[in-house]
Amino acid sequence: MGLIGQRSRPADGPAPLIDRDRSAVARFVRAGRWESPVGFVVGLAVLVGGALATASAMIAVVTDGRDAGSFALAGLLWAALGGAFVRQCRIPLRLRSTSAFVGVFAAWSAFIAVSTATYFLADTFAVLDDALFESVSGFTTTASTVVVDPESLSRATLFWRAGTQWVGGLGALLFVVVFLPSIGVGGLDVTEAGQRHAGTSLRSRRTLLQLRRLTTLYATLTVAGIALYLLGGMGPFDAVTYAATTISTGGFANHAGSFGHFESTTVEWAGIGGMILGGANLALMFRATRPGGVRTLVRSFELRAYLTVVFGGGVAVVALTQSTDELTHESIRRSFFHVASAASTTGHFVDGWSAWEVGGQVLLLAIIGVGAMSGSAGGGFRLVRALTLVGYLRRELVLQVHPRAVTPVRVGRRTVSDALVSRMIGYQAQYLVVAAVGAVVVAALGVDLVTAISGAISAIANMGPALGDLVPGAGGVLDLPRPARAALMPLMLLGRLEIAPVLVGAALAGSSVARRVGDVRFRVGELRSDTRGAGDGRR
Amino acid sequence: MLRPHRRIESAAVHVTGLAVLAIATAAAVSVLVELAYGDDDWLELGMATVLLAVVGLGLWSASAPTERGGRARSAVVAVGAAWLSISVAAAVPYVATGVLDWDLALFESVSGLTGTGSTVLSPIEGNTHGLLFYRQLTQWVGGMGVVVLAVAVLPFLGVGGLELFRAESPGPTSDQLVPRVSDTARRLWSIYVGLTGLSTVLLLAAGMGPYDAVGHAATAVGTGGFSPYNDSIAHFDSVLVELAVMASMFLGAVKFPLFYLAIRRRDLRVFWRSSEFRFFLWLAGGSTVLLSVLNRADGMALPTALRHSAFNVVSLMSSCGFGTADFTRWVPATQIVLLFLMVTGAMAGSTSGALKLFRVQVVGKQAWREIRRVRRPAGVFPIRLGGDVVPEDIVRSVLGYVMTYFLVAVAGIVMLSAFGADLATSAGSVITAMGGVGPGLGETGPASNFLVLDGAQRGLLISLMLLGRLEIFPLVLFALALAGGRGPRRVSRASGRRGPVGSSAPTVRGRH
Repeated sequence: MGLIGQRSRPADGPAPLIDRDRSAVARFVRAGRWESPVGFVVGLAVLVGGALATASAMIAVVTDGRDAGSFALAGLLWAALGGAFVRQCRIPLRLRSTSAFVGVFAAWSAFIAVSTATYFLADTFAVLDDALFESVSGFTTTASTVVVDPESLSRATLFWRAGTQWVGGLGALLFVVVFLPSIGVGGLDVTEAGQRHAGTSLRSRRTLLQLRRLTTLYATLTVAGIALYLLGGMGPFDAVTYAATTISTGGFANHAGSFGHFESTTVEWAGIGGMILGGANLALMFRATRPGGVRTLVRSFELRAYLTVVFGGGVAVVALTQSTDELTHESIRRSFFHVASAASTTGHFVDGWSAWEVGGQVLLLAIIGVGAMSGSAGGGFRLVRALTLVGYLRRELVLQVHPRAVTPVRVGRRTVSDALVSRMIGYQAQYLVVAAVGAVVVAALGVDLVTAISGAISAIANMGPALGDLVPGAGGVLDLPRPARAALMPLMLLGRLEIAPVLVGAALAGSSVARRVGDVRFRVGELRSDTRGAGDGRR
Repeated sequence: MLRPHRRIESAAVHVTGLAVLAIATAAAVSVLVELAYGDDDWLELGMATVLLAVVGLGLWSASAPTERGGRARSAVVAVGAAWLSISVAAAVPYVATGVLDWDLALFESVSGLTGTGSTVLSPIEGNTHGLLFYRQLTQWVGGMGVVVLAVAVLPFLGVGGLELFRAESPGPTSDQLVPRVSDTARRLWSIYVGLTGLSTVLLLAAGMGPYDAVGHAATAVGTGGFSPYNDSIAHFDSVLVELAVMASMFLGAVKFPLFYLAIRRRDLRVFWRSSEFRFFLWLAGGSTVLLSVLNRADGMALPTALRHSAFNVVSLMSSCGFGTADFTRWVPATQIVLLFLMVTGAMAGSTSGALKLFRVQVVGKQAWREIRRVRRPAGVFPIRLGGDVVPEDIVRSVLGYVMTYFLVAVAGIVMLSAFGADLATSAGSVITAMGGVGPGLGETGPASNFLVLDGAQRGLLISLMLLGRLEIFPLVLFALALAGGRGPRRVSRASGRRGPVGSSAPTVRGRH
């Protein structure tokens, strides 16, 4: 159970005695390539950061040429560091769930650290905590930004900023579709037959196949998004960056006015389409590409529910916020745009909802809280869980009348096992507790009631904009005191990684470090006692 | 059992009649108070009393409980019918005296019976003593529950008694103190009366007059929160009174069966052995400290901060809702903490409303269990409370209820804000109505009243108060029973379609 490395036992029998010596020092002496999933994924994360920085540097060379040097330097640095890690470590055949959790936690931390350091190298922010906030917000695909005027940034920085969201979205996607089901957490594997067994090897062919397919599909969707935006009338650079932040449901924009900047009907429609795609289930879409797959799409209960939320929510918002005589094409389109943004937890906006009646705003907040489909890069509580809970409540009602009835919980035509339902309820409770505690902490740091509650919900759902001071178009998080901003960061991370993995990962990483420190001290003690000839201590 | 066959065989009508009679009794008492203080409205109140008594007696004598009353559904119908009827019945005196119109009277009556304490009387002072006392009495009657009262005095309800009892009494499990349900109900009522007496003595000792003492004891132990003064408890401006009221609210918020066991065994350790009681103390104590710190940081003097924080924590947790300070002017963080306490409520089996701490404990342990399961996916982690394993079917029903509560609250907040209230007001009002607390946040805070809302918003809150008091399911089933007569049916396993072919129209649409 190591933070740095761990020897896995051969499958065919107990490990040789020498392999039990798990101290880092001993392993280092034995050298060779470490079997360390944590080191491997950290290296991978850093390597991806390097690739992204290199790409940003290239963009800078092609476009305005600003910051090319710093991004090239960052690219080299991260590539070298990440490459070294990846070369030295490998994922063992049998992965323990503990190291898997630490690995996920460490990978996200590494991403964020790399991004913070890159912003620092490019001198984007005057203060380090702003760089950290922007990195967290980026990799968790939240749209909260501390950039006052994005248009003044260099092209390379804008590309990097959008790239963090794209990578973060892909990471979240793989986390939700591949990692979570293999660990058996959160109960998101209701609709998709993911890997159900804990401890399944992440090196298995099937996993690798899944990883490759999802990544390909994600990239394809992004290309589709780029085409959509180009057709809508964006320039090539905007099309690429906006597509990256749309498909990843991130929501960073190159302009302070987000989509409002373009003042174009076609761009707004393209944005609605892109956001709906981003919040949809990618695993489902992959199935749809296979023969006879269209039926899968039509029959998917969650997809129908998702579209119902987007269109029903859009209609409800229009009904709540506009009287019949002020209905225009524009107002209807923009209502749908913001509902699509909320349902996919993207965070793009046109003119925002500050002028809406309260009812529409609160409804929007509820849609944000429920969030996107399972198997997407979107955040929130996720639709499939909400649907399962509704099925559960229906059963509760039946049981009130027929206390001894045996009736399964259903989502659409699928039966959901009680164990899964139990996991989801556990997750719901965690979600509520985190939201409540987050709201109290944010409010305690000097934020008003509505902003604190809605901001906490929006941060956990990885949306970004909220109500109160956080309505889009206002100052956003820049209006919040710095400590309150800092309090939003753990909320974003918890929401992105589904709470329990973060807590467990952090606790395990902490205890692993603590044990390692203890180990070293024990070794020293042992050496001393050896010199005194007092035997070999506890082991 | 001797029963002339002219009578309608319906537990629902029978229980309703008795419940209306209970309201008539409260009105009769208020007539006496009115006469004693020489106020003018005794005739109107008297006429209302007579009307209620005639209706109640009529319903009661015209009906008889069914012999086989053991069906859960008929019990649910009875409880639903009784509560809806007394909501209307209890509004009669307000209308008869001309103080309120029908729609406002209905709000005040439901707010009273459900032990909420949200008011539309403005100003409160200046009304006659009799009416104000009646207002407090409705909270006392509703606090323990009219149906529990019916079960207590109607031993012949038989098997149906237990179902009735379960449908009305708050909390996930209705502990039976003694084998017979009617004996249990009677003991609960005796404890309730005893606690109210104790509280009266406390309040008298703290310096209240007899009228105030009895009235406030009724609303404190019943955790209702009506007071005849605009400023509620702040009117007395006395630390001693506040302490006595806090003690009374606390008594009303403790699980009543614990009192019974403590008296029976002559052992006060009964309380401490209950893990829910300890959780209650920890949560109340912790919240008080947190609020005091936040208020102190905001510039309030420490003694004042401590005094107001402690009072409001106990008041809102017990879902009583008495006020000593306008917490809507405190820093926002304190308000979120108070909102949270309005959701948790106090112990199950007390007169307090909202979720109840037992459920909060189970939900918290479920959340923790899922975190533990992350490391050991195949592990079996039973949920324990105070050393006892909570059976999985109780866990299941607790979680189901909590989620339903949450869902209803979110729907309520969205609807209330759709009617035009801002987020703080709608969240505060919905949570306070469902928990039966009283003051909300924003515009409906302790210094305000519910006249700031419009008719549609108040109508929504009326239904939320009833839903919260009866713990949602009975009313939903009652509505379904009225609509389709059958209630939801099981989905047959094989086909996924509902019910047998040819049955009457399904009452719950379930096309997935």
